[in-house]
Amino acid sequence: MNVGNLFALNGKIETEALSVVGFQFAPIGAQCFDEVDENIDTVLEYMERAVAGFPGLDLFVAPEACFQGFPPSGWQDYLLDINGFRIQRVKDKCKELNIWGIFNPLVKPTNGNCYENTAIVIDNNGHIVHKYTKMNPWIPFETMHPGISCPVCDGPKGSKIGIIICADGDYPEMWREAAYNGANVIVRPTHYMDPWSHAWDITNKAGAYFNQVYVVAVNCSGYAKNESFSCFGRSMILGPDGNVIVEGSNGNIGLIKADLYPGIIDHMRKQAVHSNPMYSFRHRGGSCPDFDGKGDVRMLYNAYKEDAK
Amino acid sequence: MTKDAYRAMIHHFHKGIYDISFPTTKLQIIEKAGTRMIKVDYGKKMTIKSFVEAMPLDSYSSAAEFYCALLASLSK
Repeated sequence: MNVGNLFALNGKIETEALSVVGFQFAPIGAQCFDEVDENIDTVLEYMERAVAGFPGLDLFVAPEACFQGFPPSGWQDYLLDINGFRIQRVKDKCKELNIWGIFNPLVKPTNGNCYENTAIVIDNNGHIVHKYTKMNPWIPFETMHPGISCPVCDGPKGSKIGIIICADGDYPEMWREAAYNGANVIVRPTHYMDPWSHAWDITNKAGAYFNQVYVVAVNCSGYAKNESFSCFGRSMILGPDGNVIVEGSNGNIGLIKADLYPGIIDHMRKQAVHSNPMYSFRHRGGSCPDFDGKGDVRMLYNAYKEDAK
Repeated sequence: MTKDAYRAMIHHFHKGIYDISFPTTKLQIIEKAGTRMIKVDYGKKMTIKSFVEAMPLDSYSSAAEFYCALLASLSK
């Protein structure tokens, strides 16, 4: 887990084990609320299968648009109310099973006239404790209102959860933002389709390695009713060295599971000398005597200056 | 004739601060590990304090920052 680091990690590492399950399936591209309900039923069913298969499970993760799918048109007609009775069913199931869950509905407008693609974190008491709205909708087809920030929330077993959604992960700054805000686990619900299977692989690996963070990337899987794209599944959980811990099958419904150790990430960010990107990217040339050990801390990347075109 | 370069100084230094947790301060490092002797060359030992006192910065947010400051001071 300390691959690529020159120096030994000094000190004692204390961490709990976070049991995570990712659920991949092909949500129906809903053209009516009955189909939304059918997707919800499927998710609730597999939450129960997950705790049966992996007793003690802490965190269940579903893919992007898990309740509505992404049909080629009409999704704006079946948006969910984040405080409505359909989401309440999911909250109740988390409480009943005593697990946390991350779900990604398309929700009614809260900020403007356009709908939002918003992931929610539900704790084991059935409360929504965190929301993240996709900052980089997949243009031009996703006409939703983009989010404006990527905050992080405390999760179970010492996890600090940052969420990025699908196409967010095609932008390196999104991974960096989540990690810089303190995430030791980045969760990426997706509806990633053929033919982008290789991009899926390299973006997840790069996101994990560049930012020294666990990644839980859960994709839709299969060719769903009413959908024009096929999703390849291959949900994956990766370590901070960018190596895949576990990967789901291609195109099938399934559950993947891994134990993560979030405290290791926190420890590495404090105790790692080399391969400490959260420090070094803001302190370029840190060991150069000209900067007295602080490095050059100016933000000199044109791409990130406010007046960038 | 030149002697062979001594290769293990940083290794011994890292062993010498095995129980230092970051973030921390220069003063705390000196208090906890300052008197420990580390081998820095063939037939030569020095205290950790002698290095740390000469380093820039009074506090270190991470081990990365600490070692950057150490290497910066050694290179001067």
